Amino acid sequence: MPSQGNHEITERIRELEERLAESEQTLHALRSGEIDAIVASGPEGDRIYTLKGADEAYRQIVEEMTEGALTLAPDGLILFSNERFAVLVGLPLERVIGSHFHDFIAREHADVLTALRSRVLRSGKAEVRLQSEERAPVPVYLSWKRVKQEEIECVSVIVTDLSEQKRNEEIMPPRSWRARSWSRLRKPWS
Amino acid sequence: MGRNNNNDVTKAFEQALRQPSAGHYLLRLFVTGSTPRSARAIQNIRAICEAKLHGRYELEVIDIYQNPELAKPEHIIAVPTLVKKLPLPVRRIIGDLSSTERVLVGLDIVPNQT
Repeated sequence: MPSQGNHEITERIRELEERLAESEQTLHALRSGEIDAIVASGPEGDRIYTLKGADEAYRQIVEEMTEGALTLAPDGLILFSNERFAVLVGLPLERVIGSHFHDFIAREHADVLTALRSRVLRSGKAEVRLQSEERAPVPVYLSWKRVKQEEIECVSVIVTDLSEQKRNEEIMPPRSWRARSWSRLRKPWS
Repeated sequence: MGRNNNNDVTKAFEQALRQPSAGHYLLRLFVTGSTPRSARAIQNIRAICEAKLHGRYELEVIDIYQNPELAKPEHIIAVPTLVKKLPLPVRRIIGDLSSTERVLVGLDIVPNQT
C-alpha cells in the first residue's frame, strides 16, 4: 500500500478517535448524572427535557400506596403497574407491565372488561376476582377512570384487596361488616 | 455405554449451543413509569411481537423508577431502550419504537438493506 494511503488512513483513524472520545465523554456525562436537562430538536424547534420533574412526589405516592395502581391502554395493555398490583397477582413487576389486564381477571367478569374498554363510560367500579397461575384468586375492588395523558388515551385503575374483608364477612354479621367496609372503600372517583 | 451416552449428550448440547434459542426472543424494554414515550414503546413492541414473533418471544418491561437495580447492568443511558438479549448478538434500540422497520432490522427479523 502506498505511504500516502497509510497517511490518509492514520489521519482518518485519528479523526475517528477524536469523535469517539467526544461521544464517550457525552455518554459518560449522561450516565454519571452530570446533567440537568436534554435539548431535543423537533419540527417545532428545540424542546428541553428536564431530568427531575415536579411530578416526583406524585410518582412516589402511586408507587408506594397500599392499593394496586395501573395505567391501561384502551385495549387493556398494562402500561404502568405499581409493585402492589404485581404482589396481588404473584408475578415480578417486569412480567406484569406489557401484559394484558384481562389475563388477570377471572372469566366470569367479562362484562367488567367490556365496561373498562367502553369509550362511553368514563369511569366505573366493580368487584372481581384477580386470577393468576402463580397464586390463589384474590377478591378485589376495581375503581377506574378514563384519562388522557398528553395525546394518549388511557384508563387509570385502582385495585383494592378485599381478602381481609371477605374473611371478616365470614365471621361477622353482614350488616355490621357492610357499614365498615364501605367507609373503607371510599375512593376519590367513586 | 455410559461413555457413548455422555458423547450423545455432549453432541446434543453443542448443537443446542450453536442454535441457542431456535428463534426464541428474549426482549427487555426499559421504561420510566407511564411517560408518553414509554407508553408508546410498550404498545409498539407488543404489536410488533404479536405480528412477527407470536408464541416465540418473552417480553419483560422494566420500570427503572421502580426497579433501578435492573437497569444498572444494562448500562441504560436513555429511556425507552429495548434490549434484545436473545438470540445473540445483544442489540439495543433507543426510542419509542414507532419505526417498525427500524425495530425489525434492529431485532434481526429482517436484514439491513442499507
